[in-house]
Amino acid sequence: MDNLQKYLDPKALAKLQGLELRARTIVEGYVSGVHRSPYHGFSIEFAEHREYVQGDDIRYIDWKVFGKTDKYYLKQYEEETNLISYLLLDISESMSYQGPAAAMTKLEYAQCIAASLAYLVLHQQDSVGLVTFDHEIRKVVRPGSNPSRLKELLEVMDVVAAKRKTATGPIFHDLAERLKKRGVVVILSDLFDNVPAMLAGLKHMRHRRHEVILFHVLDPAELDFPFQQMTLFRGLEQLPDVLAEPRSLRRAYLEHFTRFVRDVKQGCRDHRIDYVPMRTDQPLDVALSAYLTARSTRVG
Amino acid sequence: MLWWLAAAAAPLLIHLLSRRRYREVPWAAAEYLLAAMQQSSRRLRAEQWLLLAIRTATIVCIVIAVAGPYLERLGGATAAGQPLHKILVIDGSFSMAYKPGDASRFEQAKQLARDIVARSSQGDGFSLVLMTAPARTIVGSPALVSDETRTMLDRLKRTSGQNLSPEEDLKLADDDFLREIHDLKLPHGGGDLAGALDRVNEIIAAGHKEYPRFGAAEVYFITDLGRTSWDSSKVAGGRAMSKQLLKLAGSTRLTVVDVGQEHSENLAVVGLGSPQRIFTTKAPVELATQVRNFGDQAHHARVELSVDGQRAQERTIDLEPQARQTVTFTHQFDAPGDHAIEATLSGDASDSLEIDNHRWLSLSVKQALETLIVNGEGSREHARYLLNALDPYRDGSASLPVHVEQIADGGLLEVELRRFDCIILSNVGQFTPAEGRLLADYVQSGGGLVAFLGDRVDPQNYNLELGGGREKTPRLLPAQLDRPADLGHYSFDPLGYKDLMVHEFQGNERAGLLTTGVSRYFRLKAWKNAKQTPPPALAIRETGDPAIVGQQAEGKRPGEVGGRVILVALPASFAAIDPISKEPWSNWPIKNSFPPVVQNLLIAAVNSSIAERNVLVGKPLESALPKAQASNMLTVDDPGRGKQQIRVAAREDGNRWSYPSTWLSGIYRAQFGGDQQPQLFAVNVDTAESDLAKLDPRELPEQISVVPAWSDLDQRPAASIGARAGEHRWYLCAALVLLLTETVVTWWFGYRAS
Repeated sequence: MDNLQKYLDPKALAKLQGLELRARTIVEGYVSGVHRSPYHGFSIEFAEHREYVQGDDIRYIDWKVFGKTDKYYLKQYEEETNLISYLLLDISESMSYQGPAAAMTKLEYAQCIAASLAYLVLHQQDSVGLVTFDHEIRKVVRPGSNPSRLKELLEVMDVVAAKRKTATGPIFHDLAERLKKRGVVVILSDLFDNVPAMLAGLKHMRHRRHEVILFHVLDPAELDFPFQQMTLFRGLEQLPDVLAEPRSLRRAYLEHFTRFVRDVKQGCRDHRIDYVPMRTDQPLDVALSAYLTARSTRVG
Repeated sequence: MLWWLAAAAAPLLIHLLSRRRYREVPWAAAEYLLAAMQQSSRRLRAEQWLLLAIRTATIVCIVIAVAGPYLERLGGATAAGQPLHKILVIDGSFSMAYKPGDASRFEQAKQLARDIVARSSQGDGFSLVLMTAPARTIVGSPALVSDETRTMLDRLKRTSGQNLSPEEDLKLADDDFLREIHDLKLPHGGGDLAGALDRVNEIIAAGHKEYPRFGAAEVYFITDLGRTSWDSSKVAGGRAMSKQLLKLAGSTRLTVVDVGQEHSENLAVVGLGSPQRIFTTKAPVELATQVRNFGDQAHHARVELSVDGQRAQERTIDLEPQARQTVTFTHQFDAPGDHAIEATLSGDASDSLEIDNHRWLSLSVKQALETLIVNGEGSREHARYLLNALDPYRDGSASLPVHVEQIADGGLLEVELRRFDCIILSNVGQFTPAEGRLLADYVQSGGGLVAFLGDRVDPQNYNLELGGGREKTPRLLPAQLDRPADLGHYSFDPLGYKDLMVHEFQGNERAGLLTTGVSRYFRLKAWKNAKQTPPPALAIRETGDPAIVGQQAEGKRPGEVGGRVILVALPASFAAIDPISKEPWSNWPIKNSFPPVVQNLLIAAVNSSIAERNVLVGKPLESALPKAQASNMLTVDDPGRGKQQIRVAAREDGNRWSYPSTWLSGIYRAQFGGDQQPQLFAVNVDTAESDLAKLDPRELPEQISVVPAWSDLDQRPAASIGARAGEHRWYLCAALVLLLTETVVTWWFGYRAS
């Protein structure tokens, strides 16, 4: 199992072909790391107490009962199958960027996360749906809990990036209206868009009582701006080219970019959205643990 | 070397090239990059320009700093590497004869000129100007000196002349420019800085036009910086001269090599003359010698007087600092003719300027004063009163020996007037235009003219012919002739006996001057447009009209003075009769006062020709020969140049000649014909130059670099371009500062941007 852990590293993961393989490898690797079963204990509906026997996970001891009875009882949950997770995957042109230090594009990285989450959720018998978008919604896979849906999900998400701009604000508004059942909305995007409009869309989702997890996928080059020599930056999403001496611009660029990230983060905090910054050179387990933490927080 | 300045364009080229060489990357976050660009574009542009300026300036400074010594080694070649036109101006004022050591300043200046040639570069051209008064261009067109000659000169300089083979010596002597320097002789005149600047400007202008291959001009003044030449406050036209100097210093590299010394002691004979106006063999002549101490120490000196080369007398004197003293000698001349008198100052070893220790005087000593009476009254008998007054014993044995000739009023054109010291017109009626011109030339050449007026005189004719009435004729008469006064009883008013002509009558009222009876006289009135009206010596008491009035006539050239013309409003005989009363105009000719007044008129009118025969260095010698002299050539024995042949110009009034080259002081002898006595001319220095006070170099404009010549000779060329010698060091310092600045600025910009 230890060997699977290395696949949490995007560099190693990039060597694997096929999104399903990648997803399974991530989840298995993650599971081997935490030494606990992902298939049990994470439902959200409480069932009954049972007496503690040696070998049980002490984390599930109900300490309130212990305080009253001085005996160890474990909480037992019933499996929940009607929890719906919506995966919203940005496939705009900006997601196709891969910096010099990254092993894969932002889209590939986001696909890995999405696939892993789908794999994980379906194995929990939860429902998972998928929406791909750029400046409009491209594909929609309705939520379902049948493990066979995984293949369909992976096929839909395994696309190349579109040559289009992102338009998150209207899309999020639209989806807030469309996603009737409340659930967990997982957004995977670089969010290179109008931030107030995007936040307004997210607010709308929150208003519809969706739990929103925002995976902000960014390339390390976008965060560090490591360029040294004269460079012609060819603008994606129909933005103009810029010929610049990067060293002289770094400070100003980072100021603007940091302000953008800060605004997004602040907006998420304001709307009680889980904001998860994801660097594409980062191990992917961060994404899974963030998801699961969010899930457990909600359940708790 | 300065071609490397083109490297200053390197930073710009690198900048442009770097914009052509870049890598391409797709960029998702272009929105934030564009925002950064917009925010930083002005700052970035300013930073880029600043860096470009610093880097370009750094390269320029480094190139100039590196090229500086190289250029100096080339002797100051121009940026384009062109040869230079070097103009050497050697001070030719006689103060340069001062000998502070073994060599005079002038010899030292010549050596410095050779040094400058030795240190020059291949292809440099040289011109030479001698700053005398007037300044002289010795070599105008730039002369070239071969490499071989320059090398030999340099070696000669380094080895003090011990290491040249005879062949090399010959080669040095063969070089035209060096020979001109070698042959330079110091004149005994002053220094004309303004003139020298004019000559330099002319040479530079001609050089630019005719020899464009020379890149720039360099001017070297080798001078003792005497105030008489360099102090603009003491020189006529000093302000214009200063401006000219400043302009030249602005347009060329101007170096003054100072060969002068502070606090130089000097004694000089500043004057030699006589208070007398007429010099004859009958009376001893007083000779006054003025000596001056220009130094700050007292001196003991001996003054010697030589006559015609023979030591006659000597006197010893003590001179206080800055004091002037007159030593008077008395000498009796035995023979008539021109005599050369020399006053010499000797006996003080500290006086290192010899030239002004001598002064010469040329005196024409006469046996008798030659006087011509032009008798306008017909009979010779009428002139006897004048003859009695001038030569009472008829043998010239009087104390004022006078030899008189008499002609009728129509004979003026037939006589050689210049033989006479004075012409007396006695009641001459009128003159022809030719006679008027003749008399004008005679007077303008220094002859004396006395006119006794009477009943025959035509005032209109006098005013026309002698009063400047005709075009291009001078006004000789001191007053305008009006008309004879009406019949009456008039007497003389001596006007306080102020004038020398009547001065001796003061206290001798019974001598007959005041008792002279006058019934008619010729009224004289002042010229309407006269510059100044001369005061009369004697007047008519009753009317205040002048009885005797005289004036110095102007010479032939502006500034020159001619002879003296005296008008006497009365006749010198009894021939002038009033037509009504039949009485003579005056009884003066038989009065006792008449002979002394006539003699005084003669003395007043006669010019002893001292001015013509005694000139300053640089002024021409001029004189006229009698028409009878057949020779058209004249020999001038010049103390500096030996015997010189001069062509004589024939003119209607005589044969005039002129000798302009009086560069040395001393006695010049003009010899015409084999048997004639030579005319002697004394040429003396202008002792203004004897004051060796020196201009402080700091008083010169800053643009002029002044180099003291008495410093180490090897240091001189470097010092002569001292104003620029330090420049390359400054450029090097500037380059270092710029490099440091560039480093700091680049770091700071990078630090701010990252």
